[in-house]
Amino acid sequence: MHDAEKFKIPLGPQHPALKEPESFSVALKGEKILGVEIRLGYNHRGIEKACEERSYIQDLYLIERVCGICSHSHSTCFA
Amino acid sequence: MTKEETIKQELIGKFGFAEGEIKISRQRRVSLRVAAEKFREVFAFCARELGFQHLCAITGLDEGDFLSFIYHLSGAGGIILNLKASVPKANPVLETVTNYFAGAEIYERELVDLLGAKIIGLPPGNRYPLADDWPEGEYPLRKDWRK
Repeated sequence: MHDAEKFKIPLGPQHPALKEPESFSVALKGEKILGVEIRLGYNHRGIEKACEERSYIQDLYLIERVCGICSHSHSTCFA
Repeated sequence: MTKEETIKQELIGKFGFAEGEIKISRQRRVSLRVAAEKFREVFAFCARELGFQHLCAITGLDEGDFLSFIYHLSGAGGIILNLKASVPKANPVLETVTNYFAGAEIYERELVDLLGAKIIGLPPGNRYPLADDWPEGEYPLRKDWRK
């Protein structure tokens, strides 16, 4: 195949197939993936830094909100 | 001899300085403190010969005058080996381990962005997790950083 058949397909940061915002730039040759450039960090909230500046009790409220699905796990681990 | 003791003896046998620096905190948890200049050699030994085939995470710490990096390696049987290397904050240089674990790139980028570490040999790439327009020289996870 010649180079004209190489494609770069952007995926994200918003895409129905993705669980969270992520940006992928996928280099394709036909159906073969040659490589991908990844950009992450869209959901970074700085929770670790926010916890540093707060008391233990205040941090409990932050830690419960790390993730909506595994809220219990984070709270149990922290407490 | 337990698996943890075996690992401890193998590390002491290979690296004499490990004698006073290695600790078995509980079942399946071994910790070793390594000087920055010996770090690469110890890491290579652990990854290639001791059978630690998975790098779980890299934890970065701001300890005042030093930045410390704990490399959490896991091996068969659920044993986790924590390798801790400390570098002076004024010159926080450490070599990359991406040639042993390609996935370490993302953890090392976090160290570079958030703590200001200088990882030699890290392949060029985008910032993570900070935005592209985040100012240079601002390391949010250092204890003395304020917004």
